[in-house]
Amino acid sequence: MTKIKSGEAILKFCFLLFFFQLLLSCEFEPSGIYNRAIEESSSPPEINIVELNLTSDTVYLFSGKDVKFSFTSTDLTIYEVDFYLDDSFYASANSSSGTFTLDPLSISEGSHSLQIILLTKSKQQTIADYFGGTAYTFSKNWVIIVDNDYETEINYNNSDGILNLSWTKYPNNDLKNYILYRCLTIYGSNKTEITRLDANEYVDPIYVGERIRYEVAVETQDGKQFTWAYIDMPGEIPKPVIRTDQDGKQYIVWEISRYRDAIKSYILSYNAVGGLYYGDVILKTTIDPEDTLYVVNSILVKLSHLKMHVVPADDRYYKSQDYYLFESLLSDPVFGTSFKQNGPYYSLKPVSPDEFLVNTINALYKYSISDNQFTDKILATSLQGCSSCLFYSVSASSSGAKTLIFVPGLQEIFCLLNSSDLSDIIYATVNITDGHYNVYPVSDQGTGPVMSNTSQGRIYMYDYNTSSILDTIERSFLDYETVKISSGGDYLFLKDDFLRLARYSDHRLNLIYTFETYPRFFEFSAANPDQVVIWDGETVSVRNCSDYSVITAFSIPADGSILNIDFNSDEFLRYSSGHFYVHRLSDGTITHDIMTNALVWYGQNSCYLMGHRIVFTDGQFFNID
Amino acid sequence: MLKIFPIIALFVITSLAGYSQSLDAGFQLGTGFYSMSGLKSINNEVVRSLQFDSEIVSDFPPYFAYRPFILFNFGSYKFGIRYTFNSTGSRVSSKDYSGEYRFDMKIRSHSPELIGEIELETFGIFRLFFYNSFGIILSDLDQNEELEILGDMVAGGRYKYKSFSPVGESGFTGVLPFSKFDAEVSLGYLYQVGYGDYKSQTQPGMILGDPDTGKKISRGWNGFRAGVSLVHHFKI
Repeated sequence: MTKIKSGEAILKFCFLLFFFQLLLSCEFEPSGIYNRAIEESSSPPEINIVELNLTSDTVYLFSGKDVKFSFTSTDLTIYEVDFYLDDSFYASANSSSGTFTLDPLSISEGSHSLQIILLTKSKQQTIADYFGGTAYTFSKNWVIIVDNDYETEINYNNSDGILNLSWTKYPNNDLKNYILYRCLTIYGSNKTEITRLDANEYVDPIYVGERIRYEVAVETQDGKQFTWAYIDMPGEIPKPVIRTDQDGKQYIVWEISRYRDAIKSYILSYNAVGGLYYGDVILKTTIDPEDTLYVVNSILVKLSHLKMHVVPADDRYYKSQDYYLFESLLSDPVFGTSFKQNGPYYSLKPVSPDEFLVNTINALYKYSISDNQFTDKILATSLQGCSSCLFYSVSASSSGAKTLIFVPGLQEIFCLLNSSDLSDIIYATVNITDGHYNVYPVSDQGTGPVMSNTSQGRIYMYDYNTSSILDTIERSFLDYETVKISSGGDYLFLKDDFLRLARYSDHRLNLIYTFETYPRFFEFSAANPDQVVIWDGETVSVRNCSDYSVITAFSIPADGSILNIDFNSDEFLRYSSGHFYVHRLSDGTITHDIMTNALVWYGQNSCYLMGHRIVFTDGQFFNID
Repeated sequence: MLKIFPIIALFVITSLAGYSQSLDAGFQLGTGFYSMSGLKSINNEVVRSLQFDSEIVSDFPPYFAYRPFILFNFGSYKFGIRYTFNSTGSRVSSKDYSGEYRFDMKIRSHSPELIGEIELETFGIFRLFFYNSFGIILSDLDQNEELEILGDMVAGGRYKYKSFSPVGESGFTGVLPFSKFDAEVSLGYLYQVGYGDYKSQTQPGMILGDPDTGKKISRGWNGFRAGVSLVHHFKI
């Protein structure tokens, strides 16, 4: 019974403890709200965009962009505008209007989101107004794209002979206009504004194909300018080129200009180095864009370039100092037929109606005109005992049958060659102790005079075939120089105070004729070894060597000089004042009168008439028919 | 004091246990008025300092107090122990459509006491006692400030303080006996003596002071108390 009562007491105690804990949990909690007497507007605050020059959802940032903004609100006081880029603070303005700059240098490349947040205060002085205002998030977002490699380009084509330009469209809406420039250098300097335009294309009626740069700049509505695209025009002035037809006739041709409607005229000219004329020599001027051919009737040599110059119809951008922009050059043009490939050549010797020899310092070549190629050659180093020999003097007989080469060295060597076969070589030495003379004329027999240069000098008639002295002729006259020997070896031109014609016979030299006036031209005939051709400046005469009697004679103009006689065609070549004249040897009639820029004088820059071709020592020949 | 009080209480209880006629265990549900003058000055200062208008919507009102007690009954007098739990608080409030500001204070106290009662008069079956208690009061103060703008909590702070103080209460108790329990009605006055500073639990060394005068704030539980009790007698 006692246990039961004790149990009840414990039960009561536990109940009281639980009850007490329950009450403890019911502690005081502050409550109550003080509602301020401010009524919320039923409509959201209204923000008016007075100005915001972000007029498209996507903005490409090519340069610093000044974003102008201005907001107003009837409900709110806007006291700050914050700009967030990719949710990060970028800039702010403590005003409802102003400008901030989007600087591409401060923004990484790629796509970004721009958000504008307006911080406002209500005009009712709400709690929020006292703690930073009522933030109003401007709901508009923009995509800002920074692409440093944004591809812009200018394309061009032409239609109706006028240049059409078009370029990549500026993608933003803040374009004020494009500015098109033309620049004289590829570095974009010396710019001249052509026009300002809204469209991304332009027809330039002035462009004639000159090598310039077109540059397009973008001007934005906030006044900024930056280069948008450019193109370096390749230069499309028609370039002159040389064409040769099947008959060997040569022309200078050029293509019709793509910009022909902008071109007033075309001027074709050449410039030669060391030629007869200095500076540009005009060959042709035309205003016809389809006249693209010039027939070459002149002999033009040593040209540095051919030039096509176009004159713009509208010359507002044409300045004299920029002439080169309007030209197209063909450098180092070669007319006729060239055989320069082994040159330069020191001398040229016709050795047959179709062949000539040319030599360099270390080689002798034979060239066939009809084959238009070299047919034989001999190298100085290939001669016997001449591992380092050079050719010093090359002479040929009047007919060209024999060629004599003097190769100085430790042992002076003469090589007598059969001109028809350069491998047919006879090596000779001249064992004459009292000196030599530099010119070694040779006859078709391989004989020739060698002059003594001492006061007791003699004339040695020497046979190069056998390296032997045929005769030692005591001199009859002082200080003879032998300058020519006839192909038969019987007659010589000797020179002291006068030019003299002498005959070698019976181991003697017999004077035939003394030229008191030095002839303008004299040459033994290659066709007849007993004849000589003389030009005294007025009359050309063909004479017998034996008695100097006249066979035929005729007058030719006194100007200029006779360059050579082609005995195979019985014609000779005269040059005078930019003209080559071809005369008949029979009567002096001029058969060809050919203009040339070549500057020719006797003994230098020689050229030869060979079978109706004029062959220049410097490596080219021209057909004259 | 905190260490001495349980020893004294244990000594008194064990000393009296052998002489009492019965053990009275009871529970009192009471209430009271709290001066809280220092904490109220904080509220006033908060209201003054705010840039916008606000009000003190609750300022330490009377609230329920819970008092279990055990007394040894010696006939015309009683001795025992009592535990009291008090709580109250305050709120400074301001609200509009843009946001809301609240500054709440909530204070709780736990006070163990020794109590003695002596019978003064008998009116039939109704008996009138005078009581006096002495003990300690431990207070926990929570301060919570919040600023909410457009639904976002933009500012706020929570601060906790504790205080300790001796406490005493004197008053009268009327007892109406029933067959198995007594019903009692009490009316008294609680007074704190000494100590009572509110020491910060979040910022060590900081003591709560009056923002206006700079003086320390202490105590605050002083005031009248009233309550009704049910008491059960246990034979010893």
